[in-house]
Amino acid sequence: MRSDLTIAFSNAKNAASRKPRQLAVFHFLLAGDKYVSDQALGAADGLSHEYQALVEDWGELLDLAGGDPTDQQAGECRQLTLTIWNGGSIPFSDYFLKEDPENILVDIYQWFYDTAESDMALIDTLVVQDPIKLDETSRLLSLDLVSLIMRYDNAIGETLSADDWPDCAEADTGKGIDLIVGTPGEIKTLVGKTAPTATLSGSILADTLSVSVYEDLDDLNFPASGTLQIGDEKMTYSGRTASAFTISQRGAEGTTAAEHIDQDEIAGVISDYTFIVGKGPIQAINNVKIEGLPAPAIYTAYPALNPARIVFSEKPYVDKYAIGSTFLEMQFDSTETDDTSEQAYNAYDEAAAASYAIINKTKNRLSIKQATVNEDRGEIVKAYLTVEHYASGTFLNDYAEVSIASIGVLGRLSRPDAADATSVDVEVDIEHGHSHEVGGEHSHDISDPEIAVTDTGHSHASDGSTTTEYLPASPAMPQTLYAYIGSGGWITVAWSGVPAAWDNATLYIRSSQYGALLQRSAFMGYQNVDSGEVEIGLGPGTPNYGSQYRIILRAYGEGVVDGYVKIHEIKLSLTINSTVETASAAVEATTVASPDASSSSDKSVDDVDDYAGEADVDVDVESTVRTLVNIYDITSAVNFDWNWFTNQICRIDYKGSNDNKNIYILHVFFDIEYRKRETVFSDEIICEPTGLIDDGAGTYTGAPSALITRPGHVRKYILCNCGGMPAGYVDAASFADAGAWYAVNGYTFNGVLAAALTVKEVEKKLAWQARSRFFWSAGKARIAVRKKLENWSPARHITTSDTRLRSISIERQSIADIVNSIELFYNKDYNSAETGSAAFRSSTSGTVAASISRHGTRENPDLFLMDLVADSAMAADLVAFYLDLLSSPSSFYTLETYLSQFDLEKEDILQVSANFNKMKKVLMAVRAADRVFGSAKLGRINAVRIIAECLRYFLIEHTVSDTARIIESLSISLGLDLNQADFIDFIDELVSLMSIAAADTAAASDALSVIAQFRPAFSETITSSEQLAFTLALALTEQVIAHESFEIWRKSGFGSGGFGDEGFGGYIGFRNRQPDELQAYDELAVAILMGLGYQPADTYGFGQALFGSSQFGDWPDKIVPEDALYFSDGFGGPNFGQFGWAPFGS
Amino acid sequence: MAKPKFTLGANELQFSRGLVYPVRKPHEKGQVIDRTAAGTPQVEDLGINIHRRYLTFKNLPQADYDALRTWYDSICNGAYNSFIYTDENGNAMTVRMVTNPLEFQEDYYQRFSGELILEVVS
Repeated sequence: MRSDLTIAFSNAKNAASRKPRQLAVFHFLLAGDKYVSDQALGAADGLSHEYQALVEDWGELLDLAGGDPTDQQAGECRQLTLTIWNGGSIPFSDYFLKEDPENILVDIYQWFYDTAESDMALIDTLVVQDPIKLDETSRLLSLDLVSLIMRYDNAIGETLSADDWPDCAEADTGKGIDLIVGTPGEIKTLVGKTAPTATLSGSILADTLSVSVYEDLDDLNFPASGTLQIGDEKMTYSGRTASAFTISQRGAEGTTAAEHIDQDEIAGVISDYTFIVGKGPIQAINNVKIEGLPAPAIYTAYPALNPARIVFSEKPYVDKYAIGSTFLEMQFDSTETDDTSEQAYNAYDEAAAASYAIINKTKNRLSIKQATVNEDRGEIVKAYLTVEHYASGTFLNDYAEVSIASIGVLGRLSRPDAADATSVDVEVDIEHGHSHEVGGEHSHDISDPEIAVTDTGHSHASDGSTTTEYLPASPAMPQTLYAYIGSGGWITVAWSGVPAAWDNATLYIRSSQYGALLQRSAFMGYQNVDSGEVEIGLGPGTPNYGSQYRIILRAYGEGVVDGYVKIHEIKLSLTINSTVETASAAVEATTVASPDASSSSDKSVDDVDDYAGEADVDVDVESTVRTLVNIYDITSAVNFDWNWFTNQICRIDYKGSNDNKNIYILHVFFDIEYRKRETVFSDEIICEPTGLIDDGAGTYTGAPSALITRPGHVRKYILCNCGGMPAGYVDAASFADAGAWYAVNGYTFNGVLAAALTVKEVEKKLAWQARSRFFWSAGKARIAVRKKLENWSPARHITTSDTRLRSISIERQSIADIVNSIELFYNKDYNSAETGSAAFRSSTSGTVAASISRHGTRENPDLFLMDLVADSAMAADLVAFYLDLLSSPSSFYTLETYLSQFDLEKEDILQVSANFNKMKKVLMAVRAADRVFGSAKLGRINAVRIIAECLRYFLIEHTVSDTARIIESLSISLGLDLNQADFIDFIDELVSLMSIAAADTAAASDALSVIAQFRPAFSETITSSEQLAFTLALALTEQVIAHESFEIWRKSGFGSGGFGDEGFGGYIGFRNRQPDELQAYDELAVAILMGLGYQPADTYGFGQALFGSSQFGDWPDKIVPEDALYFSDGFGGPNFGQFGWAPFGS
Repeated sequence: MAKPKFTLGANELQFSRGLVYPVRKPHEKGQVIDRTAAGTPQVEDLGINIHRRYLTFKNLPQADYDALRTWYDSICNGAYNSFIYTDENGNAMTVRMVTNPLEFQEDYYQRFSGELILEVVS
C-alpha cells in the first residue's frame, strides 16, 4: 500500500465528492517536457505548468499487461493506451518526427483540483512502446505506455563474440557469459582464448624443418611466428605460409625432437590460455579443475575482472588415471644375506620359469629383496605379494611361513592336497641286438615298439643257436619303488607282453624289506605265462607307522624258443592302493648279475655276448604335487605409495622337520593393480566461483564489495547493472522491508543466471523463487513478499460503501490448476549434462492430505525447479508456502472501487464485505489494481478495479433462538471438515478468522443471550508469538440495544491450558464465580468493544483494554447507562463450560 | 436588444436581424454520478463545463445568410477557429461554432431561417 500520499491528497480521494484530474508529462529528449491533460490546466488552476487539453481518452491502466492475474507467475508490467488529439497547428505526433518516440518517459499524475500542486501523486512513470497509431481522419494519436521494465528489458549478460575474443574456441562462440550468484558449486567455463590447432600433412623426421598442414593457416589465425607443439615436442617457427611452417628449432624449450606421423595434431603454443567464468567482478574463483581433476599450478584466477576469468600459462593439462586398471608384476632384485635356500635367484628370475628355489628343513629360508626405486605409475588400486610354489610331496606337520620384513608374517604357504598325489607310470623296454645267423647280428629298435611288440613273430634264420642269454646290464634292473604305507595296503604289479610261445620264460617279481620294517615279503615266480599280476601286501608299519618300504620290482625273462634265444620286452605296470603314498618318483636300477645258466648252441656264446641286450627303461613320473599360488593382500600396508616397495624384503621360512619335504619356490613377486597415469590436455575447465559482488560504493547491498545473494539485492543488480536502470527508480522502502524479511528467513540465491535471459525474464524467475512480487508502482520498482495465509493481516476493510454497485464478480479457480503435492528441486548441479529435475542435487517435498483426499493428487513439477535455491531450509519454506497458496482452489474477486482505494497495491491484504455472495470480511490478497480513468464525455467515473485472490472462505451462519446455545450444538465444517462439539479447537494448521458481529440489524427485542466460548487448545510447544495467528474481534456496537434485559456472560482467558482455564495475565484473583451480575435494565445502550490479539487496529488488545486502566478509561462515553447500571467487582473468572461467570467491569 | 455580431480579427459579421425568442443558453457540467453498493452516491466533477448558445434566426435576408456562410466556410472555418460573439445584451464572449452542417431553410424568397449552435470557450 502506498504510503507516499499527502494528507490533502488522501482527504480528497476519500471524499464522496471530488475533482480528480489526470496529468501527463512527456519527457522528450529533444523537444523537452510536454504537459498534457484532458482539459486546459495551468497557472490559473494553481499549477506551475500549462497543460494542453490534448488527451482524448485516458483509457485504462492495466496492472498486468497481457497477463492473467490468476497466473501465479504472471509477468509484472503495467500498460496504458493513451489517446491524444493530434490536430491543431502543431499535431502532437510532430514530436515524433524529430526523435523516435519509443522509450520516451511519460509521467502520469493524479491530482485533485483545489489541492496544491505539491499534493499531486505520481500514478506511475511509463515508457512509450509500440503500437503507435495515428490517422488523418480521426486526428487521434494512440500510444501504448508500459512500465519502466520494458525500457531496460535487455539480455542480462554478454555473449562470447569473436570480435571481443578473436581466439576463443569456435564451439563457445556465441555462448553467454553468465551471471554467478552466490555459491552455485561447480560450473563450466568458456574458452576465451586458446591456441589454434592444425593437422600435420605427411610424416616428418626429427630434423625436418618444414611442416605442412592440411588446413589454411590464415583461416586458423596462426601468428606469423611462434611456437608449435606436436606430441611432447615443441618447435619454434620463424615464418609460415598458408599451408606450411618454417621451423627454426626442433626440440625447443627442453623437449626432444622426434618423428611425427601424418595427421598428428599441431597446436600453437601461447602463454595465456583464457577461460571465462562469468560476468565480473565476482568474489572468488576456487577449485579449478581440468576434466574433473585438480589443475596443476599453472594458472592464475582473476575474479575481479569483467568477465571473471582463469588464465593458464600453458596448455591446460592434468595427470589423470585410466578408467580400467592394469596389473604390474614387480620383481625382486637380489638375495639377502640371511638367505639359506637353494638357488634363491630362481624365485625372482622371471625368465627362469622352469627353475625354482628350494627350501627344506636344512635350507630353510628364502630371503630376497626388491631394491628398485619405482616411479609413480598411477593410482594403486590393490597390491599383493604372490608366491608360486609346489612341494616334493604332501606333508602334514611342516609348513612354510611367508613374511615381509616391514609388515611381519603374512601367512603360510598352502600345503599339497592329497589329491595332488603323484602317479607313476613305468615302462621297461628291453632292446637286445641278436643275430639270426652268425655274422648276421641286428637289433630291433626299441624306439619302434610296433616291431618290438606287435611283430614278435618276424622270421629269423634257423641256423643260429643260443644256449644262454643274459639280461642286459643297462638299463639296470630291477626297479625299486619307495612307498609309504598308511594303515596298510598293497601294491599290485602286473606284467604283459610275454609271448605265448615264449617257452621257459621266467618272470621274477620280488619285493624286499627296507630296513627291518617289512612285515611280509613276497616272492613270485611264474613261468610260461604271457601276462598276469601279483599283489604285494604291505602291512601297517607299526610301530614305525609312516616309514618307507622299498619295493624292488624285478622282471626279466630267459629261455629258448625254437632253438633261439628270445628276448623280448616285458611291460610292468604298477597299481598303488590309495592308502599307499609314493615317496619318490625315482626308480633305481641295479645291475643284475649274469645268469649262469647256459646251453649248447651252434651259436657261440661269444657271439651272443657280443650283442648283449640293452634295457631301455622309460619312466614317466608326474610331479608329486601341483603348483600352488598364494596371494597376500598388502594394500593397506602399501597405502597407495609406489615408494613403499623399494627395499622391501620377502622371506619364506621352512618350519618344522617332521616331513622333510622340499618346497620349490618358482616365483615370488609383488602383483600391483593400478590405474595408469596419463597426461591429458584439455579445455574442459571447471571451477567453483563465489559470485557477483557489490561495487565500492555498496550500490546494491549497502556494503562495499559485499556478496550479492539476497533476492532484493540480486534484483537491484539485474535492473541497474544489467538493465542500465538508474538506481533512483528502485523503491528503497519496499526493498528494505523485503530485505529484512529475506534476512530473517534466510532467503538467499545461489545459482547461475544465463546471460541470454532478459531482465524481465529474470525478474519473473527471481520473484517466483523468492515467493515475492516484483512490481512497478509510482514510477518505482517495488517488492512485496507474499505471505502465508496465517500471516495475512488485513490492511483495509472494503465495505459496500467502497465498491461500485453491482461491480463484483468472482471466478473460481479450476481444480486443474491447484497443486497439493510438491517435490521441489533445488541445489542445481550446473556442471551436469542432465536437464530438468535430473540436473538437481536435492529435493524436498510436501503434500496437503486434505486437498488430495478431495481433489486427488495435483502436481505441476515444472513450477518447482528452483535453480537459484541452494539452502534446504529455504526450499522447505517454499514448499510450505506454495502448498498453502495452491493446494485449494482460490476464488478471484474482481470489484470496482473508487479513488479512495487509490493507494492499494499488489499483495495488500483486504477484508471485503458485501451483500453479494454473503461476503463477510472475506480475506483476499490484491493481485492487480487496475485504474479505469473517468470520462465526463463517456459518463464514466474514476475507478480502481481490484482483482484479488481469496484462498479459502467458508461462511458459517447460525440462527440462534433464545434458548439455543451455540456452544452445545455447534457443528461446523471449517476448512478441514472438523466436527467440533463443545469446543472449537484450533489445532496445528488451522487458521481462522472468526468474527461475531451483531451489527445494525441484530436487535434482541427480548433477551439477547450470547454465549461464546473459544477454547483454543494449543500444544505446549506452540507459542503464540511464533506460529499463532489469531484474530478475534467481538464487536457489540451501539446498534445492539437490549430493550429489556441484557445479560452478558463473558469468560475470556488465554493461558497455558484451554482458553479460559487461566485468568488472562495470571489474575487468579478473578476466579470467583460471580454469575450474571452485569444486568442492564430498561433502556441500557451499551457499546462495548473488546478485542483480543493484535488486530484490527482500532481494537484494543484484550489485556490492555481490560487491565490497562488508562486505555479502558478512554472509552467511558461509549458505555452509556441511561437508567441503572450495575457492575460488580472483578473481571474475568475463568471456568469451564460456560461463559460469564465473572462480572464485567470493576 | 442588440443584434448579434461575430468578430474575428478584422472580420466582422453583423446580423441585420435579431434573434428569435426563446433563446436557449444551456450550461452543462462535466460531472459523473455513480452509486455505491450501499446505495450512496459518488460524485466526480471532472472539470468540463459546457456552455452553449442556441441562436435562432427567422427571415434572415439573403445578404445575411451569404455573409454567414462566408463566415462559416472561410473565417471561423466551422469549429476550427474561435471568434468573439456579442450577444443580444451586448456581452462579448469567445465561442466556437459547433453547428455542422450549416443548413438554413429558405422559408420565403431570399428569406432564411435556421439555428446556430455556439459553444462558449471563455
